[in-house]
Amino acid sequence: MIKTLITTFILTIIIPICATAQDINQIVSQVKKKIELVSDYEASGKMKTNVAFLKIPIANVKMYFKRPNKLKLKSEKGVSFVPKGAMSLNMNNLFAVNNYTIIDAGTEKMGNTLVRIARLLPNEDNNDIVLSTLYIDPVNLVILKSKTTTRENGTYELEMVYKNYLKYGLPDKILFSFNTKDYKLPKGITFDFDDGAETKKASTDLKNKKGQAEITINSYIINKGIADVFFN
Amino acid sequence: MNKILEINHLSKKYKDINAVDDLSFSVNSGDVYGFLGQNGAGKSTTIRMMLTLIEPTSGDINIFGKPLNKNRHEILSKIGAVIERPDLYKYLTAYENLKLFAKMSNVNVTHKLLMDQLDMVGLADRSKSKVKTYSQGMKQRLGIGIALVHNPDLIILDEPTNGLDPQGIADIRHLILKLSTEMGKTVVVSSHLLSEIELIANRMIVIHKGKKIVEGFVKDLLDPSKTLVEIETTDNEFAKSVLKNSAFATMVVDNNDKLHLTINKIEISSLIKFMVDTNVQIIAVTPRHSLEDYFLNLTKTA
Amino acid sequence: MWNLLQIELFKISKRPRTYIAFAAIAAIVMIFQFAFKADGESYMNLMMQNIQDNFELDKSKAINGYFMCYIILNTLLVQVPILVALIAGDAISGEANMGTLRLLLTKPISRTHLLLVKFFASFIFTVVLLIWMAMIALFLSMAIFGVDDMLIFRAKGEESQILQITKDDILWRYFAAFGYAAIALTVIAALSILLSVFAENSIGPIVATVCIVIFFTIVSNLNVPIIDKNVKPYLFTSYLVGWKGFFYIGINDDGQPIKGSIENWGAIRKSLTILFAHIALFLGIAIAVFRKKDILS
Repeated sequence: MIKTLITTFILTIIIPICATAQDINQIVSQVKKKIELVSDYEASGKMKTNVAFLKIPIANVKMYFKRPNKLKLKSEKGVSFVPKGAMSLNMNNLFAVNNYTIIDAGTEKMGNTLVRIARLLPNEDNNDIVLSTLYIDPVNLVILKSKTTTRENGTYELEMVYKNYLKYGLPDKILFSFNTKDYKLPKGITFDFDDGAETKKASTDLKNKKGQAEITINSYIINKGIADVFFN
Repeated sequence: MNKILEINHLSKKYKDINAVDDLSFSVNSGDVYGFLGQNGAGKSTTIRMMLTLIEPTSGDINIFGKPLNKNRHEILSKIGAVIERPDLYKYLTAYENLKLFAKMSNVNVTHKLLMDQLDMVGLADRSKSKVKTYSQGMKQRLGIGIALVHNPDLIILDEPTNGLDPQGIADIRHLILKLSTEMGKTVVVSSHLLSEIELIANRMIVIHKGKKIVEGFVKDLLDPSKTLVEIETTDNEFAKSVLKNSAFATMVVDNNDKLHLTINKIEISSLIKFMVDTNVQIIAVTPRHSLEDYFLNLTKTA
Repeated sequence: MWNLLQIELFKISKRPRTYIAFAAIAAIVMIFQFAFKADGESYMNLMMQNIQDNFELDKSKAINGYFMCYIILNTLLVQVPILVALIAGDAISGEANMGTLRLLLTKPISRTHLLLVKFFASFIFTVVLLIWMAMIALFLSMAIFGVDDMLIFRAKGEESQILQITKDDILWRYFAAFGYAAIALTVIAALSILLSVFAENSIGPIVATVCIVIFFTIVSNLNVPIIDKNVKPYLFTSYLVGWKGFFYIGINDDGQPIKGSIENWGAIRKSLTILFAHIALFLGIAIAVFRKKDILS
């Protein structure tokens, strides 16, 4: 009797769970496959930069991508400050390392979506990326969030919202967070005018030396071919 | 005689120094009036007060019958002056200098007027040269040209022959005489040289340490028949009052502390007799030969 | 008065020293332009020192004509007071030194008029100097370096900021800034004229003006809180750099610059009021002294 019960339990409860709980390696490889559907794109959108010391207008930007790892973010006109870690906007970059170990770090609720968390640990010691954490929507097979810790440039965080280009695994909105030092003008360079205006209180996030770039993409031109010169 | 310039009890004090001390004199229309005194006697200070460059401490200046301090513009527009060295804008030409000052004097400037003026002072051929290339004498003549460009009624020249060579001095002298005789201008000219004044002025004043020594017609003051006599008495004030009420009254030179008389030599004995008769206790009577000796003396002691 | 002003301007225009100022400005500006054309990136690297690692900036775009002019003005407007003093400091004392003052004052001109004319002539000189500066520091730079958005590197109290003004929002700021600079430099002119009244050679007032400006500027920039609070507001030199206020663009709550705005109009108005008050004060004293002055030169 007990044996029967156990068998029933295994058959009705455990097996379905295992069946739905795909292997994290599989999921990552599926996501990667989806990303690889796009061999190049040209995206246009707007970039809003939130950095405590930077008072710059919202810029019209263009983002060019070409496999395997070419990515260029530039302002359509005018002078623009582009955060240096912008290279990680390239999803492919997250998988740029061929040799990595994937660790299943469980699940988490993001909005209404239950995401699978995968940690990617490069096997080579000399890689710039120390650790990537991906928050994957297992149903749509897209990355909703990633945290990348680098050796040289601190930690970047990406949050992505998908809508119109979901089938290509391309986000409509990217929120890119990065570390930045506090800006200090070299002493004695300027005689500045003290206009007595109060410095607006920066949000604590900005105070914590976190910078943010919010990129909203209006449109993508996908797989139409891009010349290499765009990336120079 | 029409008094063009009248100065009454004019004084200028600088802290403890009386640069000009209770000075009074007048200049008549048509005079070439000599203003004589050694350097530092107060000539320049007086002239500068006449031109509103220095504000008097006390006293009045009336020019053309009007108080200077209340009619500055009107009076100055009828005066031409050269004060000491005629310093001009060295980086401008003579023509430009003249034009500029003519405009300031509200003259309706024409090319002909300017050239005529330069011609009068003998600079027409150098009108286009910068003043920095000019000799002292040329600058002086240009200065006079500027002083005359607005056809003033009164011309004031402060030491116009200073630093000039003999030819330059002669040129200026001729110019002054021409202004007076041919153009009927009234000229006040200061100098520390009696010989200069003697040659050009009809009337003159001698000042020393800010005070008037003597004033009068040059021909009278420098008349060799008139000897200046200095009398020392036990009580100069008493002696002066006695003399002023006598036939000798006109001969007394008003010179505050000392008792001076201008007198013909032959009258000296009757002067002494008169003083003895009126109980003036005489200590000494020292005759001088002339105003020139007297002036030279002052200059020497300075 | 107009007649006199014409004469005064004629005199200024005929003097070799007048052109020293124009030549000096041209020389400094052109050295700047040459240096930035050759190696502007080093300057950018210096300004961005500690954020180089975090941001990428197209430096060749950032070093444009508008930016150049700002850099040049930032440096030059510290030195231009010397050039203004060179003319204004000479206004009365130069005439005294040359010996022309006594001749001038025996003309039927009131001393107040003469002083005002000297002042206006210095003002006009200053304006012409600024127009010249605008021509070579702004328009020539625009021709050499092109135009684009402009970055302002600013120290604001304890913080530093980088402001970006879009290129279609800049030119009017320059016109306003040059206008402001004209007023600021006119304070220097008035001060020089005041000092000039007391002196009988031109070196004295020129050197004195420059010393006062340098001394006050140093005090203004000591960054010692007690001085910033108690002394700085009373020094006119604190307001000389107020032209920069036109480039401190207003920022919205989101941290974005608001096109066409200025962070603190009130501060600029206050600065201008203080500058005008100084002009009136310096000129007033100068007139009062000059009217009573015995001319002994």
